[in-house]
Amino acid sequence: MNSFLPKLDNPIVTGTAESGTWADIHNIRDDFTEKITVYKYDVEEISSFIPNMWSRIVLFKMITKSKSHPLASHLIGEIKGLFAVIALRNIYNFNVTMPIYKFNVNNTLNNIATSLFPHTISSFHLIKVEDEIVGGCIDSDYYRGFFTGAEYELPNVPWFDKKDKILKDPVVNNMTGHIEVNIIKDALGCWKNRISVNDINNIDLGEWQHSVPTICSIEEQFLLPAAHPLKAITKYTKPPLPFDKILLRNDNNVMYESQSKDCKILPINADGFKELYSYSKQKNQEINCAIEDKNVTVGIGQDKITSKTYDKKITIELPTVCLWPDFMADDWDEYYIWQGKSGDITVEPIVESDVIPQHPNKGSSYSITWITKNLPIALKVIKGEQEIGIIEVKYSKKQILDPVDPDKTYEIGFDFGTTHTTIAIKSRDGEPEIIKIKDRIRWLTKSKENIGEFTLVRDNGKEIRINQLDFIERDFMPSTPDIPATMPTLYKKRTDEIAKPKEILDGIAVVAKKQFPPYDIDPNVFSDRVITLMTEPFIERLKWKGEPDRKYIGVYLPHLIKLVKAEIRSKKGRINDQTVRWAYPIAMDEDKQKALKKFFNNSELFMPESEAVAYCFEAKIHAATPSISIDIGGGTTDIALWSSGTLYLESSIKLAGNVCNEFIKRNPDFLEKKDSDDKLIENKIVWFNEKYGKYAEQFKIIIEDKPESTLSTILSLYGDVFADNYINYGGSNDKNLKNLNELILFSYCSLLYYAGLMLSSTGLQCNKVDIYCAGNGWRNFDWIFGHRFDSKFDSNLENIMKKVFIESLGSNINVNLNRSSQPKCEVAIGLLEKPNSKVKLTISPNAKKSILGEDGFYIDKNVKNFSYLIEPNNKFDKSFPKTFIQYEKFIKCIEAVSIGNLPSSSIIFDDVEHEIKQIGLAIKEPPFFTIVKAAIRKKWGVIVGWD
Amino acid sequence: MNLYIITIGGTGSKCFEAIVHLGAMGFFKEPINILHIDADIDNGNWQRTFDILTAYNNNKKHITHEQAELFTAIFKSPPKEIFYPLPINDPAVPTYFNSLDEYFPEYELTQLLYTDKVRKDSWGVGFKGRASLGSIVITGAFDWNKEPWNTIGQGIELSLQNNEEVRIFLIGSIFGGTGASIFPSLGKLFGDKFGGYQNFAISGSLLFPYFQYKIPEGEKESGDYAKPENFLPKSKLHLQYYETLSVLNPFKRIYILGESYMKEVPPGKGGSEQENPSHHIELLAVMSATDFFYTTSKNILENKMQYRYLCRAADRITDWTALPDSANTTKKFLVFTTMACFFVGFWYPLLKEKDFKNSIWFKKYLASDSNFDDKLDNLKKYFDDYLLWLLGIHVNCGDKGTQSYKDWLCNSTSDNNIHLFNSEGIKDFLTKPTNIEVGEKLAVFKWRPKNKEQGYYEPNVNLPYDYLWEDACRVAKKIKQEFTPFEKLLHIIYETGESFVSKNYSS
Repeated sequence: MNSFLPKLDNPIVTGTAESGTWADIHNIRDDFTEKITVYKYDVEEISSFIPNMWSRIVLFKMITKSKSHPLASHLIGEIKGLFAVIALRNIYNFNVTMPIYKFNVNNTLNNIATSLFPHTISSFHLIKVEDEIVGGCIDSDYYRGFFTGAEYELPNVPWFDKKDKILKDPVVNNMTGHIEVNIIKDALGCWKNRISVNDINNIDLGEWQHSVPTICSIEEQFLLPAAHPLKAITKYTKPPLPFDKILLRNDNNVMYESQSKDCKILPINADGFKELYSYSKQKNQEINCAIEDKNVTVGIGQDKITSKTYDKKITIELPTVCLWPDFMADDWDEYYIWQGKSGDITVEPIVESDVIPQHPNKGSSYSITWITKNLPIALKVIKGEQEIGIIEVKYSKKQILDPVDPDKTYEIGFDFGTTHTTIAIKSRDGEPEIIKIKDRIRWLTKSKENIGEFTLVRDNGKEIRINQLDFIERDFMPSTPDIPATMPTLYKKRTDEIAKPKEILDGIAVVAKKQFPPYDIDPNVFSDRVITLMTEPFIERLKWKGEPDRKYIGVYLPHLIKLVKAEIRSKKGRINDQTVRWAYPIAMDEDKQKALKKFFNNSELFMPESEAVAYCFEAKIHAATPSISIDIGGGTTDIALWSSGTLYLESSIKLAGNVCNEFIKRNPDFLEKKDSDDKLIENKIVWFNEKYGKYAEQFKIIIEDKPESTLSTILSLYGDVFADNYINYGGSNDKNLKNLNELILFSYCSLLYYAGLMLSSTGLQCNKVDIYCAGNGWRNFDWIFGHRFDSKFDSNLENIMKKVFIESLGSNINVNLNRSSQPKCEVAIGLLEKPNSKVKLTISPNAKKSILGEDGFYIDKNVKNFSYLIEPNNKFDKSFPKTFIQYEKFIKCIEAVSIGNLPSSSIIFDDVEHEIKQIGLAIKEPPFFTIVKAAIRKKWGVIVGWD
Repeated sequence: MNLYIITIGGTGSKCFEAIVHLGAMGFFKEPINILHIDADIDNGNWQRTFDILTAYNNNKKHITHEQAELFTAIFKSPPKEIFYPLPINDPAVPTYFNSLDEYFPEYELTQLLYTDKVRKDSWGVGFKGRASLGSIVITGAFDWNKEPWNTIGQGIELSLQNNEEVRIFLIGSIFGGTGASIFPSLGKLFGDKFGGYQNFAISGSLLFPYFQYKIPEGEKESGDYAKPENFLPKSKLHLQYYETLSVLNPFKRIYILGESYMKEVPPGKGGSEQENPSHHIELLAVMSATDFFYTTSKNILENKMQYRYLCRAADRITDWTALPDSANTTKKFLVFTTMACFFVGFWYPLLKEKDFKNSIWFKKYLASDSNFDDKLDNLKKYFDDYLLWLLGIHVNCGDKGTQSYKDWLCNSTSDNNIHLFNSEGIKDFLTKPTNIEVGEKLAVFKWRPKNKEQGYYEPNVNLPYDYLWEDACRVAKKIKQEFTPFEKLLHIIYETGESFVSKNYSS
């Protein structure tokens, strides 16, 4: 139902009211007033808009009721300007008086004024500066506190705006006069903390005097909202100021200055009366302030200024120091300060509380990390044992986050892959979106471009030079500039060792129950003890059962959560009440599922990955036409077969993008470009961009340690460069590249072939099938073949894959190969689609029975079918077949269309038999892939997915 | 029950116009104590309204016997003048002041609360949209010991002490200067004095922006025009001000009315040139007063403060279903408009005919009235005004130029969002009054809609005047003999109008 009302943002909810009837507005503010969109207020005239002569006070009353009021910043700026005048009256010699205003009953205007004021006025003072009326202070049940006048003239106040004829916030507007803005900040801090009758005894407050502290606390509390820098400043400024003391921290009268132009040590200054520093020494509350004028340091107090001459200056090089995150917010309580060790200079964060910052790795050979709960406002610079100055940590307005929107809660979907982790978030009424982990590192002492190296001593005693930038970026921000959708699982702990990326809980990550740690979750949830306890029922079947791996998980996950928290907070989202949803691989056995569900106490929050993918493709998978999702990840491929919203079959295979990594590992010269005579051409790794080109040797070493994620990382970071420079511009004849092309085509086609076998085994009758290619493995597929990802296949490759699929199916049906527009994001998005989905997906009770997942079945339970599962169309008893008929069909098909000289069954039989015996009774995946992997090893020398 | 309506400012004066017409249609069955407050008595809008009120009263005074649904309202103005001038415009007013600084020279409070420009600006054309100024002036001028507040106050006090209910209704814009400022101030003054009585209730209709205008080039910096872009910000701040008052708010109900599209009106800074066409929001504002007046005491007096709004089926569209008490309201409009057309198109020229005055019929029913021609002229004047008011609701006016008010409206385009009457039919009727010899058909029946679903009504037949005459004869035969000839005429045109509507318009 519509209404006779002005145009509103959202129509008013009329309920059952009919046209032509009068209805009540139940909540005038929320249902109506706040829905009126006002784009601009005529600030010059606002004082006369309110239908009451006390409109100035009404406006201040309004903004105290709603901090988000569009006029709030304007009026708060004025009141801060007024506070600054009062606080600095002695420094500037302002004559500030606050005469009481008495309402005379015989005075018409006074009668009007008291009549129009909404409540009884207890006391009312004018505030006069230089005899100009600039504001007032009123005590009443309607409004209690300061307010500014509509207009006044204070030309001698630096933060007076002559055009608007009002005072402005001296800090925000950076209205520096001959005294630095920082002084104003400090003075305002004094005002907040020191306000008492004695402190302002030269201002006559009359009857109002007794309530000064109350009034000030109320108003200041409001006027210094969480996001305002003043709050940070005022919190650490403690009275009284010892202004008669010398302000240099060192006793030898030396001024230290930084050789870096990017960062100054305070107090150091070459010319002029400019800089100030102030901070509290945590224990004894001592405050020192200093400004420096040429070779004189000056302390400034509320009442006087002192100075002292220094003897000499010394220039020093500051170490690399960075801070994470790059914002400040009142509710954020996790700040990291990282310092690369260099010489005898160290830094130490100064925070606004008495909580001493932690430094978990102070003893590290190359770095120091500090963790603080409170905003680091400055860093002490320490040379040897002596403090020689501070580095101020300034925050721009942009870096100060708005307060949290209390209604903004997010659901988070995590897809933990072998090599990449994808995270989607969804606000209450929004659509799922893939979160981008932004670079939130602030470089405090050097610009990002000038970060140097440090020496890393490896376990084997070998020293390598590490670019600090690479190290820190991985430490704080495992993101990629080109693929915001995913983050490499590659993660380096803040320790000396280089961690080996591994599957996380075999592809699953344990995150949290309902809320992020450290709020309600025991921080020990990720401890080795807890993880061991949690996974005890199936510990024997986990690859990461060793303590180093668990340690790695324990470090990685909190780090990841920290990054996500920062992104959510930057969107004004609540960070302590999020619902986390996650997926487990379809191959996980029921024991493990039960254990995890029990541990997390809410099975609604997780689902199989294949189901999540299905929700992402919701409408299509719900159709009667059979659909197959082939999700090729970094280490695992999940194949799921759906029809009419029912999951018929699913399978998990340890053959995926990891074939590429293994290939590079086996062929390190792949990274070198050679001419047609196989000779190395100098400087041929230009594609690896200048930054890494410089560290090529070192990178090779890292590659050796990171078999499963290296290529993904390289491609993610430099995929375009790779495709353009290496392949498209002369690399296509490269022998190694040709081999890699064949390998990946062979591997991916084997997955298509197996998908055809799956469909065939269900007996579903169809003349069409839709195949959805999900996962980042497909993006790598494009890159390897020299194409930028564009949501479609090269037609030749697509035809090859279709032929392979049809061959395995045995009937010539219409095959549609579909690409996702967001490869790798399907699971994370699908997780968040489920709660709002109108489609009900079901899982057939037979879905797993004929599938062999990585650890889903035991040969003793299925021994009768084992041979069948190797070759579904043949029957063998108790012995392995000499000829793998399906494999033979597969290679015959692929040889006909693409790759020649593939090893026959007889050539690889021994390897297959050996592997089957190696794995004993536990079959980890469809035996078809045991055969395929044997062939890969035989032809390309690449071992994939076998321990 | 004792009912009071106080209209305020320019918008209030236009609502006053609607009050008169609705009173003529029979919407108010009890005497209405009414007062209009504004700075400028010469304002064109008020002058037109005052003319209409005069025309109404000129007819009403000749009605001594109760008529069915016609001219029922009694407008009482306390104690002398219906217009209460704010002391800012007319130098003849003893308390005249031309600016805030003149009003309160060299006072620290005004220096604190107002800018220099606001303090010094002339009030010659009103407050220029500055609502905070009006609050001072009305509060300063208001005195329970002076008229008209003395009479009003005593009347209310007496009624309340006799346990009679008193309901006061204020109408003004929330976005202007005068209405916006006086509305809450007056509410507070009344609330402070009578709020303690259980049988007292004050309510009002606050009109949100529903029109806009373009400030003439070269005048933008003059400050003489309230800026239309400030209308909505002011309205929002105004409501937020009410929120800050919380329990201190004296009103029992506030009706909020506005429109999602703005009609363009000529730029105005007041004065005699200011003349704006009527608007459906003003009609609805008056209907909100009827809702307040005729809501049961229990619902008004016992409930907490309410904000009310009017629902409609489609955004922007005003059709019959969107009017409160739709069936009854529709019938009243159709009957009244039909009889207005009957009179203007048929009776008035007929009764002016010398030959007809010699007829037996005339002599039998109407001839004995003295000054009958003057009365006919008064009635014609009123119905002409009514039809213009009705047309104003249906059109979008362009530039007025040198046109007369009537020509201006008749040359305007239709507002396609108004699905009540067919504006072209009204224009036809106003520009080409039916010729009795050749007309045979009432032009008014040309307001033919496409179909009923669009909210219009289509007569089933076109009635020739013969039929109307026949019906008039039928009514005349049954007429009460104690009626004066003028009353008989009114009775005949009302009854024939109603008969016509009941025969030809199906609901």
